[in-house]
Amino acid sequence: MRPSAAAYVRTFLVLAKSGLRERMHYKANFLITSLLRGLTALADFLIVAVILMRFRVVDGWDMYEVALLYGLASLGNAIYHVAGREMEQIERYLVSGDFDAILVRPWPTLFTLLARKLDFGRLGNGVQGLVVTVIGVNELTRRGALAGWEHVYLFLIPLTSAAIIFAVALATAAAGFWLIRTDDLQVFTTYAPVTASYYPLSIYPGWLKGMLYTLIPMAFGNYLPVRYLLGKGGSPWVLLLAPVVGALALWLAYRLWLTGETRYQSTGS
Amino acid sequence: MTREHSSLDGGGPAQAVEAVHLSKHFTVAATGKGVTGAFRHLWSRQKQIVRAVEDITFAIPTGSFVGYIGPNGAGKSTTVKMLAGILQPSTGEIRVMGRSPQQERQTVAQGIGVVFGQRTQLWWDLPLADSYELIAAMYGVPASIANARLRRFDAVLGIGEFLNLQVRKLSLGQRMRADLAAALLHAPPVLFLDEPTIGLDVLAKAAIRDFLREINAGGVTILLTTHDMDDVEQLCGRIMLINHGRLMFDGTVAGLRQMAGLPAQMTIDFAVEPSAERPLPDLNGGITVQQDRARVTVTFDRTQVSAAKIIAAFQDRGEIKDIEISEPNIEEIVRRVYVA
Repeated sequence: MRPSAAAYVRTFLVLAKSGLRERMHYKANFLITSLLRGLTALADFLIVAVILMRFRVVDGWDMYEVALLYGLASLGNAIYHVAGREMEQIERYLVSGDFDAILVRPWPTLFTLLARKLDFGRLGNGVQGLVVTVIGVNELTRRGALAGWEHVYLFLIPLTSAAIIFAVALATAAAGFWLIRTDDLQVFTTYAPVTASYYPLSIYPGWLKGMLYTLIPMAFGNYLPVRYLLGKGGSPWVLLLAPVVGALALWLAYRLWLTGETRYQSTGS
Repeated sequence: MTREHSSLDGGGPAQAVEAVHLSKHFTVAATGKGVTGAFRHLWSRQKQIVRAVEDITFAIPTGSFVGYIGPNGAGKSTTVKMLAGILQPSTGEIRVMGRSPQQERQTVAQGIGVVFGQRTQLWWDLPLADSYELIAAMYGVPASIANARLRRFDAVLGIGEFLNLQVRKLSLGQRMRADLAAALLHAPPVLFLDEPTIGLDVLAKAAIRDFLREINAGGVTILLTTHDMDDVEQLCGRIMLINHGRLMFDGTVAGLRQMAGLPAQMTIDFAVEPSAERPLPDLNGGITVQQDRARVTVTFDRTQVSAAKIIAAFQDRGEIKDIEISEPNIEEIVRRVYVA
């Protein structure tokens, strides 16, 4: 007796609503953190913008092109973070044995885990990403670098990005079933590559690029599709390949999670 | 060989919980002493096997109330965690309502309630009522039914008075009651309780025991893991005793007493100190007598001498003010069985 798709949606909505309520319980706190997160993220970009204005181009990408790359990655990251927050807490669950409570629920563990806390505060980052993206799209459309269907494809990019980040974070969390301690690994596999994806990958050394194309395929999130859309090279196939890589990464990471789950050791007493 | 008890066809299996040759071995890396030991540990792959549960077999019929007792580290929690689908057994088989909690975790989860006394399963930052709403949604319980059940739980557990408090603000006793109601909101036929009365005061313990008795009378099968021997004596028709991962005893409380052969104790208070010179009444052995002024303490074996005979024997030694008989404490019994 497996839950139906409708049951998933219904339950998820109830859980999501409570996640929001939990945050709203400290209403001022919720508004202030959302605002602050948006502002700090915006400040991050302003620093980049100032540097860009000084040097004009980064490896052949001008300020508006980087804005598009940056904005889409930021949007993808925000989407990932709304759902994926609790996954990053996996170490706490494994060390304390709190994962017990996840396993006794009649749902797939990942669903129960993620639904425990949806981080809507991250939408503040999303707003910042959206603002930066719109600035970039506006100027690039005016120049004629983006037109027609290309605008439509832009909507897919944050989703692909989010899927890839999610997959990498999920695989890292799954590794926790073997390693227990994953907090430091997370910085290496998710935080650093996400930050790297804010800029054209061509500026990075070969080994890092190699990793971002394969093991941590962040390149397929924003860089490769945007590069093609802006006529900076690459094959049109990349537009199709990107979401496929996203889906495949998700599937592989989830297989790893399911295997890891059976190795869970809980804690004494 | 497991299947002869469990019927997978409708009507519900006669055995609510079955374990057959169940074992759980943990592999832990052996760490040496001190810094050098810790360093050596980095590249030595020396492993040590901890046999937390070793070849345990039992069957719990539907509707029973079983106490699962043993000292710390005996393997109680490990067993319960395997039954609840949290841990994978190393070897052996488990059936809960006829299904394997490992192969069909989600289905089994829908049919069991679990309470871990040490940690809550409620949403820490939300009002208690919201946790119930979430749990109802998770188990597909319609709001009207969930509310009706909560009203029933409120009558015994009194959860209504703190329904609107955030869970973090509840006292331990309140939280335990809240957790119990949460575990039963989806009306599971099987309930696993791990130390549900730990750290509670007498009143809170009594409230929880009353509630458990009522739930069990309603047909719910309960497996109670506890340190509290009063829990076991008051609630459980059957006890299973585990030590070093092995099942040492499986039977009634009285049966365990008999097995341990612990004597009962009678304290007789006389009005005046009886003379010690008078000979002891002949009660064909099996008793020891100690005297401290007006108080005489008799230790005797119920299977050999009745309490009435002893009273009769002491009656002619003076006016008796008070008599108190205490049964052997289960903790003492458990200790004896472990030593044996």
